[in-house]
Amino acid sequence: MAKILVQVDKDLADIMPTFLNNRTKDIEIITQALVKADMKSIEVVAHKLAGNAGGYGLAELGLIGKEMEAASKQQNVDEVKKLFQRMKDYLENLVINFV
Amino acid sequence: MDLRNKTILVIDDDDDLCLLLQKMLGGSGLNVVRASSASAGLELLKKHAPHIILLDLKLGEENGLTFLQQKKLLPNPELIPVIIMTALNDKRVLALCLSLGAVDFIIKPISSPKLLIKIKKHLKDASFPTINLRSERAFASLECEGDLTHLNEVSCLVRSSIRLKNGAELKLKAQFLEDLGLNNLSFRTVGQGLYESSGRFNNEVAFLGITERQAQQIRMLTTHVKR
Repeated sequence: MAKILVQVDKDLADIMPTFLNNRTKDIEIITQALVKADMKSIEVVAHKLAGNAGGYGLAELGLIGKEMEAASKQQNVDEVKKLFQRMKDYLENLVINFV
Repeated sequence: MDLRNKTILVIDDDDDLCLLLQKMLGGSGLNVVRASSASAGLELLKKHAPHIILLDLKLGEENGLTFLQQKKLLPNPELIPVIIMTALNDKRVLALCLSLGAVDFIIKPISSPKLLIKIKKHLKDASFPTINLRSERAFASLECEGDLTHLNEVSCLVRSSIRLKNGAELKLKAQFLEDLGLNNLSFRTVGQGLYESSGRFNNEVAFLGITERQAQQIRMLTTHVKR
């Protein structure tokens, strides 16, 4: 998959590592929740992602969170899995340029 | 509008968003205090009396509506404006928030310029009232700079920017008085302070309980002694 280049305000450079590190934790939580079909936990994680990622300049990640929140509310496991894969791909290929 | 010395209470259970808000708001000079639940928010509201509150609607087990309901029970709940942060653009919920005292909304994701515009707008509209403390004035303590300009055995003149009323008890601290051993005396004004010039007043202050030894020390000084 091609790299995803995103320009982010340089003022956020010092807090971005914490934000991205917490997304790694989200991936662990969602992975475990999927095993247990625990949609409620996924909804909580996705809701936060929907609310915070855009503020960090990662609008697409925020949209994935929004869609995942809606899918988990509807107990749509297949859709959640698809969105989860998109989330992982996005984070894996993300290249941030602080401007 | 100057945001320095203004306190904002952020109530949100999302650590990442709070870190971002701390960055945005703290960078503008606001003092940010944070709670991650409605109940903790209420405690911090009572403890800090913030100028404005940013409230998330979804707070884990609790929600922002609980906070608004509880805030409404406090005295003068309208004094501290609450801006709702939400990812949901649900008009029914937002109308409920308004009925519970919220003043505005900001839809997530939050951008710094939009948020600051809203905060400034509502800080401008809100102001804490002056409180009448007449019944408390006997307990007030005021410290002010002054010049000790004249002195005799029974009183001294204190020039200050404050006009003291007749019979006011006060404490005087000056190296000069300490050197004379007068620092442990009680002091009380005699008559009301008289306007001198440039916003300064001459206040005559009597010494209470002065000993003969202390009076003798004063008599030994020349007049028109300036501190």
